[in-house]
Amino acid sequence: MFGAKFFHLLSYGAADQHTVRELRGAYDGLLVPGTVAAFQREGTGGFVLTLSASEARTPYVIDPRSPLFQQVIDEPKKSHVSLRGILGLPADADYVKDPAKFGQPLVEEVANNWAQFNCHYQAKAGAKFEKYAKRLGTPDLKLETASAPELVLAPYFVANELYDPWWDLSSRLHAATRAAVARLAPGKPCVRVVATEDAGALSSLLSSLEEAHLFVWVSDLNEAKASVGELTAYGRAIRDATARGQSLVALYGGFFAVLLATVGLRGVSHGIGYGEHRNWIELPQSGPPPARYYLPEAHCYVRPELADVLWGAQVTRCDCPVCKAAPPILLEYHDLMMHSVHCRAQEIRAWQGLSSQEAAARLVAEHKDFASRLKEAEIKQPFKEEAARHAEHVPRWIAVLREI
Amino acid sequence: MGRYTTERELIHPFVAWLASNRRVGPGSVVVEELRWSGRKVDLATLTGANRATAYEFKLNGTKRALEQAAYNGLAFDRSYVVTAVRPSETSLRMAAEVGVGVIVVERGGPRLIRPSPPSAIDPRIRRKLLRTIREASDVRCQVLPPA
Repeated sequence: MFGAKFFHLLSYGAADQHTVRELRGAYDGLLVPGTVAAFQREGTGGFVLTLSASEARTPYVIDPRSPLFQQVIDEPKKSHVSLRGILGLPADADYVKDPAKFGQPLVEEVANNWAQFNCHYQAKAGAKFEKYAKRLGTPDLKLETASAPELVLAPYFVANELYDPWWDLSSRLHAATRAAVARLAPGKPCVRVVATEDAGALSSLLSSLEEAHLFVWVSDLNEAKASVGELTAYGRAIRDATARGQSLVALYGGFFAVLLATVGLRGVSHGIGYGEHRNWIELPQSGPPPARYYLPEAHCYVRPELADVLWGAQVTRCDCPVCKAAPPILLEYHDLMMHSVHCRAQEIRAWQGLSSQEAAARLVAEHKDFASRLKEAEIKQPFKEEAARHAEHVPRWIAVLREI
Repeated sequence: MGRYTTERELIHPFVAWLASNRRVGPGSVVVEELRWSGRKVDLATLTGANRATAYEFKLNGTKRALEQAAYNGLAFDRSYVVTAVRPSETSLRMAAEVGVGVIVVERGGPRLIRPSPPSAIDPRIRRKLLRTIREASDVRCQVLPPA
């Protein structure tokens, strides 16, 4: 996961099984939200375990989603309750107000719970293995050949500075989880997630750590809307960490994260058809992504009808297996989701191995080509204007690549 | 203005007007909030002769409704914006540019300001739309109690 090849993780939702199964080969691994792993333990377990036992040997990791419990959830869902129970986190609101209340015994209990959940995942979540092996078309798969999570992501919280008490708690949780994992599964990596709301704080948080492998998450960093300053701070934090010998994977990200491979980012996770950024405050909310078309030329999602207009005017084109069969407006929801992942996989293949300056030059050429085709296209002006608005972030990304 | 406070209030007198003007008849299907292409069309009608029309309702400030209606024109035979106030000349020019009709619901009832020109629709899109409208209509028949 932290190797030379940029690692493409798909965040797996409970409703995504069919899509994930069909997309085998278009991604490198699965990131299972702790809520899904906890609440739909056997179903999710059966699904990811069969994939891990299949010929593809699809690796997976479980995101503890612990920032869910960094706030008071007014109406917790069953999945929240399940995950809280597995982690052993107290429901008392006092802990949210004052993270210093997490004494070391509680930290170790949470760490042990989470280490056991991960390290014993095959045994506890494998009850429906046979059912999912049949669905995969490989009924002969054996549970014994299924893999445990590739690594254990330690419980973590969002923190904006080194003196933030949530940072200290995250540090203690990581240390305790690492020790518990070492006892249960010697050699199994236990990786920390550095989560912050402030792109400008990421560099100092990362530089305070000695770990070589880390996940990073800047909460609510919408790549298409963020300022040049925010994106530059994010990119520089990754560049500097890479220079120190740290390998980073983004917990959420889109095409801009793919571009950050030019400064050392090793991988990215995203949901199917969305999930390229997430505000931790909104973690309790969930739901399916809207039906949108991923526009490869602008590296963003647009309404399928606009995509269809652009497709008809030959402003956009896509050779993915889904789009070969039909224009955007005829794609069903499932097809739109498939298309988005195929596009990301293609982007990862096409944009690796470049320096940031080379990537900037290529993005300039691509953007000019899109603008030129849009200008010449015989389509109604409001559609042109909307399409142009969807590409407004590209010059900002170019500026960031030149800065970092 | 002042007579209507929400877009939904426009819909029922408007549907009555459609019926009285024979824009819909006994063989027609009328669907509110039709799910289409990742969003909802305020009102969709499908006549017995398989003519599909979309209506987007807006009390005032028609720009957004015009955008939606312009997209409706990619799949529906005709597409309208229905509003409670006469749109500005700029909006009417935009409506003409994107091929959208305009209807204003006034005190005396709805009035056609600008007809919607018929659209040429890709037959595959058309089939998908007709199927979607019919399925939505079936769902409503199952969910709603008999009148």
